[in-house]
Amino acid sequence: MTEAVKAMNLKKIYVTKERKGFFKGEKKVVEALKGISFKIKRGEIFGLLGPNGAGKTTTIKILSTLLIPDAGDAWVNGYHVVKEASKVREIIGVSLYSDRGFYWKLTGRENLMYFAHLYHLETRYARQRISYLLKLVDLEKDADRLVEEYSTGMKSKLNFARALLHDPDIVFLDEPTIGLDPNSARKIREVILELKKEGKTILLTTHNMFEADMLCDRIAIINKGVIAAIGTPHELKSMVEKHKVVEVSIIGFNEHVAETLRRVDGVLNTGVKIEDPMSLKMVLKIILRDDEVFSEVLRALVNEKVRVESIRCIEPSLEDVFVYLTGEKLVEEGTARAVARS
Amino acid sequence: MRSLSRKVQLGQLHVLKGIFVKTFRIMSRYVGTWIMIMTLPYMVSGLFVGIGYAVGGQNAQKNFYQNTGVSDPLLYSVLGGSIMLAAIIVLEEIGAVIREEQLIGTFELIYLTPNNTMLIWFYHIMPIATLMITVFSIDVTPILVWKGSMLSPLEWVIVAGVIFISMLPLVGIGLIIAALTVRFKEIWAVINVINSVITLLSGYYYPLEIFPSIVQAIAFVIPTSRGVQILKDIIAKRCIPTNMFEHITILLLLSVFYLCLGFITYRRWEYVAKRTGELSKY
Repeated sequence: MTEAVKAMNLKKIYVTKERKGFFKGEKKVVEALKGISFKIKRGEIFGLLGPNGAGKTTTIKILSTLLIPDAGDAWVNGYHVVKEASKVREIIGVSLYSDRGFYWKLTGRENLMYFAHLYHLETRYARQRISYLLKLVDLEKDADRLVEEYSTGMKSKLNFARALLHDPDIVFLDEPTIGLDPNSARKIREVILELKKEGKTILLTTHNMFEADMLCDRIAIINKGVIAAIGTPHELKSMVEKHKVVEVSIIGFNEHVAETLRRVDGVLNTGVKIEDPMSLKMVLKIILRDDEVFSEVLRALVNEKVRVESIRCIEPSLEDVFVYLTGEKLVEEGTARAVARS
Repeated sequence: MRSLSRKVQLGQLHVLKGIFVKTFRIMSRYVGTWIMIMTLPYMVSGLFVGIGYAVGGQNAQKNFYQNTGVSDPLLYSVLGGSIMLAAIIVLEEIGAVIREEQLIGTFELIYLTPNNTMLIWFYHIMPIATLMITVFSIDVTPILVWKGSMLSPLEWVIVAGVIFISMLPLVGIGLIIAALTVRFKEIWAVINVINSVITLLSGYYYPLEIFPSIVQAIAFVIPTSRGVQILKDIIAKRCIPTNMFEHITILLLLSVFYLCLGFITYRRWEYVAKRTGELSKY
């Protein structure tokens, strides 16, 4: 098998319970994955880009043998994730949480040493490897402090180091930079690129378009359990490049405005994000078929009698690809700005 | 694969060593808890001895000897109390370790390592049992020194072995509790109820012979009741019981029974949890 990871028609349904009063509950079925398929080549950084609840973590959990799919199959390095789970575990490194997964009364170094024992690593090698990884993630100085004293960012970095402890060939990273300050996030991204140079295969999930654009060789855009598109960042952006992307900032927005705009002939899709709930300030991204539709959009806005703060044509980003494909926006504006700064 | 050459040959021993080191380190950082654990048998024994004298008056010690065959109520109670604490802690540690690991987020991470997870939970008994045997020795030794009747090294080895074998079935019971209650998240309620039943029927502070035969029959399947009986004979009565091997055989059979039941229940829960996503719920 040439692919490092192969997923075929993966499906997963969760049954949850919604509380109705003190004792009553109602079962709710959530379709987390609706038959997704993708392949990851060796040495590739592959991104799963999607909003919260899209099915990214479920996919990683299935591939890392923590979850059994309801239908479909997946292989990691040729090993079936259900039938050959123990072999899969030996060759993967997984980072699942940003700030959980540690014994608080142990130091960072002691935590890593414990997991080194669980990975059967020879003690002298484990010590060297732990020192190397702590240095790699800038935790050398704090390695001998109890984890209960760590900040969220430090725990994230330690989590990342643990995923690499046994020098795995395939690494799964679930939102590796979530909750990190810009400097720490930059450091983690640098390490991910270093891992690629070493020939590691990396699957990372993110809802951060800048991160996906910067790191990934190929990206799968996932939303509501469905992969909407797969391609290189350039290929994905070229889907929108032939169209026009307009960003409109509106005060006094209501859902009717979005509906009206969606109905304008030539509007391919719209994505709405509330920027300030108090003033009902919204940022609306509109994908237009061509320039000619722009005047129709302006007319519709004037008729809706809303206060338009700004209108600008923008270069298409992965965010716009997401809006184009799903009709939804991907990230919080605040998050996007913070990421852009980093 | 490159990393294979960096792995040790006896991986499971390495895992056990890791669990030992982790458990000792964590426990060494809760000094207050250990002081409490070591002094508690004395405090509870003092309470019971005091009540005994209040109820029995001048004849208290004589009555006690007639009922138990032991002349020193303090030794009898401290011995029983130390085993009671050991049993409570083992059951709590095994029954709640999974829930606690879920809460701190290490549970799934252990599933990502190339190990049989049930063995990992089973290995947790080793450091805990070692610590509890140490606590038992520290608690009982002062009274034995005071009475001038120290145990021989062989007797200490037998005592340690009996404590360990008495704790083994509790691992199985702990795994059953863990598997059945992780889903409902109310592990402590269940552990406390089961610990109360075990405490009541183990005869830590009184001989089970004073109870009706039905109670004694139920106590037959409580593993700690046999361990307590052997230990009282060796330490308090200073004699090796004639039916010790019968007791030990039954203890071993109970260990196999409870461990098998625990493993089967846990394995079943684990499969369902992997299907429903329960593994990651906390």
